[in-house]
Amino acid sequence: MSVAAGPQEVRIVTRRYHEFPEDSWTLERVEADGGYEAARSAVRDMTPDEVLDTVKDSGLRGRGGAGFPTGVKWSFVPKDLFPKYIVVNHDEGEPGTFKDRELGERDPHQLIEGIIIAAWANQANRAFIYCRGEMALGARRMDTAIRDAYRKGYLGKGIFGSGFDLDVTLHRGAGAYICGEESALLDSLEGFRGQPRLKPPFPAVKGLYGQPTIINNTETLSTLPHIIRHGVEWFRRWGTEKSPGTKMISTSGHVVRPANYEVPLGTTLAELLELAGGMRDGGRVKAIIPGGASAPLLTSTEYRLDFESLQEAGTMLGSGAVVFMDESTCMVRNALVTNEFFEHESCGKCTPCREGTWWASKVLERIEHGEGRKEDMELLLDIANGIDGRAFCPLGDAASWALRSNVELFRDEFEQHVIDGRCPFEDEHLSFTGPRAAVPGPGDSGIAAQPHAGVDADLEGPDPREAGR
Amino acid sequence: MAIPELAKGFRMVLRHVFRRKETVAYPEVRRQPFPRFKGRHVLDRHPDGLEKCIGCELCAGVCPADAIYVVGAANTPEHRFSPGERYAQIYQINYLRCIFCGLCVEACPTEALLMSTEYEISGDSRASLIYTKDQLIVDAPIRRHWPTRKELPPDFNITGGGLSFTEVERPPVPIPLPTEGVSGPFEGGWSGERDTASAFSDRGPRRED
Amino acid sequence: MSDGNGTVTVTINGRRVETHPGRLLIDVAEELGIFVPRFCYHPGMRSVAVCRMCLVHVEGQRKLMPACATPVSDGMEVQTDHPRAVDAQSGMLEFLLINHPLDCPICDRAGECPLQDQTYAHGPGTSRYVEPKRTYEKALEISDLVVLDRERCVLCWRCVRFADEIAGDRFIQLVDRGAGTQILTFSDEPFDSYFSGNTIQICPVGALTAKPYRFVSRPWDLKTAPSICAYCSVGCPISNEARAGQLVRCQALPNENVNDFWICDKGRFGYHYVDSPERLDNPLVRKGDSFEVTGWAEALRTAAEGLRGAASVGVIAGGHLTTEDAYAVQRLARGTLGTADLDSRIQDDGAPYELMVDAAGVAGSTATLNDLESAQTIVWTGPDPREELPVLFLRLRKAVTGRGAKLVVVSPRRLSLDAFATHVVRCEAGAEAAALEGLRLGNERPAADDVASADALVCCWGPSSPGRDETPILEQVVALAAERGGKVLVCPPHAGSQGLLDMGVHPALSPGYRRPETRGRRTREILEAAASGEIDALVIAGADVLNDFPDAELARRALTSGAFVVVSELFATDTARAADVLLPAAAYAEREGTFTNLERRLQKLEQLLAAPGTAREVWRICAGIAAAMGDDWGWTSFDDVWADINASVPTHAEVDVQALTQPHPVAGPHQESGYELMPNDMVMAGPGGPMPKGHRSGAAFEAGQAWPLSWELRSFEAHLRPGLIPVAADGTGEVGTLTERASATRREPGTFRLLSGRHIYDEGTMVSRSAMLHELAKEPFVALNAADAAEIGLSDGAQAVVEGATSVTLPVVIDDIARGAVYIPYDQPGLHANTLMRGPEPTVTVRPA
Repeated sequence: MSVAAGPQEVRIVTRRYHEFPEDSWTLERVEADGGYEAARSAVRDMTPDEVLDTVKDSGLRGRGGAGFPTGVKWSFVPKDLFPKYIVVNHDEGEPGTFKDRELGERDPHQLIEGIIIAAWANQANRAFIYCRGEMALGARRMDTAIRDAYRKGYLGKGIFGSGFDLDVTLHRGAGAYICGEESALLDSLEGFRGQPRLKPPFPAVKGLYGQPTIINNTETLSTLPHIIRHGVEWFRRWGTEKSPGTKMISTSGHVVRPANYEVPLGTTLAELLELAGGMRDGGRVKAIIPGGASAPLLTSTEYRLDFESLQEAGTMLGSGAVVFMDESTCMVRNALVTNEFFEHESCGKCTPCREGTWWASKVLERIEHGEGRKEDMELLLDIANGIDGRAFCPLGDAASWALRSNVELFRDEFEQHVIDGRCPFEDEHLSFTGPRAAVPGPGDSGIAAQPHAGVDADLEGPDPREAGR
Repeated sequence: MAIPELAKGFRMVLRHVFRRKETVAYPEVRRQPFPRFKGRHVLDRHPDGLEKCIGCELCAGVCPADAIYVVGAANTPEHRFSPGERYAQIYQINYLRCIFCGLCVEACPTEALLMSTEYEISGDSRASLIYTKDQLIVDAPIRRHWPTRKELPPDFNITGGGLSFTEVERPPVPIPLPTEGVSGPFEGGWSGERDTASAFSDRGPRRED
Repeated sequence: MSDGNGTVTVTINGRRVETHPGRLLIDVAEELGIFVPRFCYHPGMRSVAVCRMCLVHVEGQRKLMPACATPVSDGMEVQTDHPRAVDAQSGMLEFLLINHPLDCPICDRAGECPLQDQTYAHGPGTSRYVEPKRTYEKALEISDLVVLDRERCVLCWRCVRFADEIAGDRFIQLVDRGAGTQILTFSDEPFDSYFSGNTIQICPVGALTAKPYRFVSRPWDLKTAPSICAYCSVGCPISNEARAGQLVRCQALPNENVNDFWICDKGRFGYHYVDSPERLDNPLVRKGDSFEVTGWAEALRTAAEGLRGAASVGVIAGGHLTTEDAYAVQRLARGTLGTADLDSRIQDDGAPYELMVDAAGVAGSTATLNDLESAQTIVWTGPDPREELPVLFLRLRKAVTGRGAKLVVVSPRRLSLDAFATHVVRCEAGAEAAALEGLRLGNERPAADDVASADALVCCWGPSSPGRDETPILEQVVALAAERGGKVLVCPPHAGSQGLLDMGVHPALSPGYRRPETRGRRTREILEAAASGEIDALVIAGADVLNDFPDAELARRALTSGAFVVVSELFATDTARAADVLLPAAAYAEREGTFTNLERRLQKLEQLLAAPGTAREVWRICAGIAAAMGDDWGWTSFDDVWADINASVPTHAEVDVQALTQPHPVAGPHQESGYELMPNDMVMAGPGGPMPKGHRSGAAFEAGQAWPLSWELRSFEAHLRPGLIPVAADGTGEVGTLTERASATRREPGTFRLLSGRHIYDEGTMVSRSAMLHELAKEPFVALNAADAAEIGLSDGAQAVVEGATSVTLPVVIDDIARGAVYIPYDQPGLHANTLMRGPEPTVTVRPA
């Protein structure tokens, strides 16, 4: 990396598509760029246990949200139970997050290479990519990539000339945030209603079709080829002791250049903001969502972006989606929009999440429209406490964290709404017209819109599912 | 020995000899009961004529004397008796058992069951003292002489005496006549008096869609 | 659950208990008398932990744990009343109530509602929710029996889980997501399950209510008595519930040995016949062409005279008599009347129950229903259990889908079991015995392999079709079980069938499975003898031979041959109308008694109602006839009958019948509403009875603590009503010589063996008088194999003329049935299939209409 003033990106998983933006997703380019070398050497030259130990030693932590060490997760899988499955969680739905989408669209072969390594390490002969339904372009490119890999013998019977078989199936979901939760993803993959399962048993022991299943995030798997290729020491050059390596940070909000930035873990928010060109229109940072909509807010850029530092700060790195909000943001509206997202995406399985998010939306809507009561802030905190730790899966917890941090950090602003009987960020008082999350309005937080481009792309060409493989 | 006690006793008696008599020459003279006297029951209607009673049987359930018998049934679009799904197909109060405690009125969730001031309840057979629904129900909504619970001020406290009934104008409870030819010290709102409905036009019943 | 090696010690609310590892915290707490509030947890189904009501504090755990999904482990310290848990429970109820309509005054569940009860016990007193509530269309009729109110639903999934996990009828499902999640049926399909009523009973709110019980009563108005369902031979314990002297509801009672927690809709909704205006209330004596109402003395005298004057008497009993009635019928026949011609198999299933006595020592099952659950392989041959023995179907399904048992079904036609059977052996009609022999000898592979490899084998048999001789089939079933060390589950059709066998209402068995001195005539022979005048008097107890005997013409001739006929019945059935003396009997809810179920388990029923008029129990009628004939048995009470049974029936010598009384809930301070009857059948309020209002609320549970839910099937209660299986002498285990291997007979083209079977809702004497269910009865049809149909030019839905003893036109249904056989339901509206049958092994011809 060239040395220049100011913070720099460290491009590992994003390197290829930055260097070859024209054709980074094609097999020709990938092979010319040294693709599949790591997978080939893993399958040919390493035992599964060696691969597993390498991943364990690298300290790679899951990039999907929970940050669970990947190698440890793999070691939970019973060795003697077959068949085993690898499931790629490509159902990126966290508001503010758009990293997996980019990886799937622009470097699908890197993901397949990661799948091969994970499958070899765990001796799984079948992998599924659970792709978010809206990501049509990514799905088509992944589909092409899988077919190319089959043609080359990287997938299928006896890959790389070894005796190891691996089949990869691409499955497009139907668009539910909850299907990003690993057990709900499995239910959805099996054809049921996408709802989280009771744990234990954990998927590693009893997952897809009742068999041991490893579920990893796209970015996690995309990192594997680089670890295998360059070794543990190389990988540990970046990041912190407990959070080694780099992480793609989906940066959005009121910044000059919203984009994915791959930075070493431990980079400060201030450095990230500098990378993104600073705040738009010279604004000042009012609030930061450090890890997707689920993460509690921060109000200062001094924190480091790694799993431990943010946990100490009472929030989390999550999927690595950082949203910077400037002072034009109405935090009541931010809480409302965020909560309406969780209300809409709640699967309805457990009481606190189903009813609590519904109730909180009603209360927030009232406050935002000037019909709040002075006891509503306590009520919102009570609702958040009523969900937190009592819901069936982390969706409810996430909803409560976001809600609570909005109310706790910006209580003045909530009270202002109640006292004024209107939203102070509105030019004129708008009457109560019902849910307005979908309509951009004054005081919007600027959370990056979800990728609608993919949906449009669906209309352009033939559906890859119909094309057959 | 007991002279002082005797004197005390006689003084008491003499004093009462000259007091006004409490008894009246019933039935030539009839006493006006207090407005909230607990007499026989009536079943109220909504202004649009639907029965307030939904046949929930809570009055029967709370009755300490087991005097009330209610059987519910489902309203149909063709045969609608009350708002909502349920109405009282059978509603009977057995006045041989009733102790006029008023718990049934308290239990009523729709304020359908009220107690009138009528106290002249007697009969020559058991059957005649079992009042059926057609005897109990009024033809037109009752005009209340005290605010309903819904109309009480928000800070009203039942036990704290937040409402003094002397402050409210209290005409007697108008009730329908149980049978023709009986008259009593009541006035207004008799059976068949439809114009009272207009006073309640703003308080329509909750209707099912 | 793990069976546990050793035990673990758990501390709950400071009380230590030793228990097996892997058990659920909620169950262990319950046994200690500590109640954890719950909605979604049900002891009969797998935990899902969705309602989050049972959250408890476990020492060392950061989060509260759902007690219904947390297995106990050693050293676990639990506090169900920890402030955090209490706060969670209160918060959860506030959440559940924000969208609940709170229309308790019009809700059928009010007064026995777990949501109400738990809100009082654990909930907040007020709600802080001020916004409009979620609304749906109310009172959706999702089937002819079930009404759904989605506003009241708390989404505990119990109904969905029941339909999916227990009944296998996935008609009711979750729709939409988030706060819009709702329970619904699929657009056009109603909730047509034979078990739909169970979802009503397990619903913890008033979301699912029963149409027949809609707005009929309040729980505190009900008088209840435990009883046993009088329909099929499974013998599910039920709670009969009456208001103002009318039976208004039946609910399942739990018994881990018999029905778990479930009953079928026939048992639940088929009670209206008890209050039918058609019930006979006084004795009737024939005077020429009409009946005259008489007193009992005269009726019994007339009956006695007629019977005394007869040269030979035949006695036929129906399948719904209790054990006491059966004993009385037997004593009347063998003792007072001195005849050996008595039988209870009015469907002439030709079942050689006596065959089992030598091999097993009993004329009935050697297996229990619980044996199904430990069985590795189950062999089924017989009727369709879903139609005839519905709860047995659930037990079989649980054994197969829940416990992984292998199921081999041997049948000439498609049965409901085929859906989850491991192997289906589709044999020709009449070749079941051959197929079973194939299983025994290992020819019928791969099914035979599963039979051979099973350590625990249960062979089930029931009479599959009226009018067939099933001797070879039962012989093969017994031989198969004997050779493999398995057990036999004999499934006679009706609630009283096994009791009738035990009490010797059988030409070749006397009470206690002994052989009588003389072997008498069986049903068909009795009717033939009556038709020919050889028998000149008939005593018929609770049997409608004209409609049930598989040769209607023979039955008609027998009854009209001039024989003197005494009938005791609930209704004026066609058979009863042919009687000379017609004596009214009491229905099951109007009497004390016992039924013996298909495992030979004695279970007791209690009286709840008064019988109409002067109707009385069959045992009293029999004793009355005997006394009128000069043979006074000295019976005046139920206990007298049992004293006689104890003394005369060796297998039942040790039975203490009063010990079988099912547990009654303990009375609380509030008494149930009473009533008085006025002239003109008017009912008025009257003094309350001895039962507590909301009769189950406050009922004591194990440690003397109050069980806080008023109507909820309690897991601990499931083992409180074990009943009793009388011990019988051991059999030799040897099977008599096998008869010739039966083979399918040659047939003429267009001629078919007639297979038949009862459907759950049919024209039976009782169910046809239960209005709600009678409407659900299917029209009759004829089912054919596709190849046979094609051969004679018929297709699905076409009309066919079926000609047997009589001729009838029926719609054709193409089904998976053996070639050369047709299936016609036995007793559907418009067709008594017995009118088509003549002689044993009936055949019919089928041609296009």
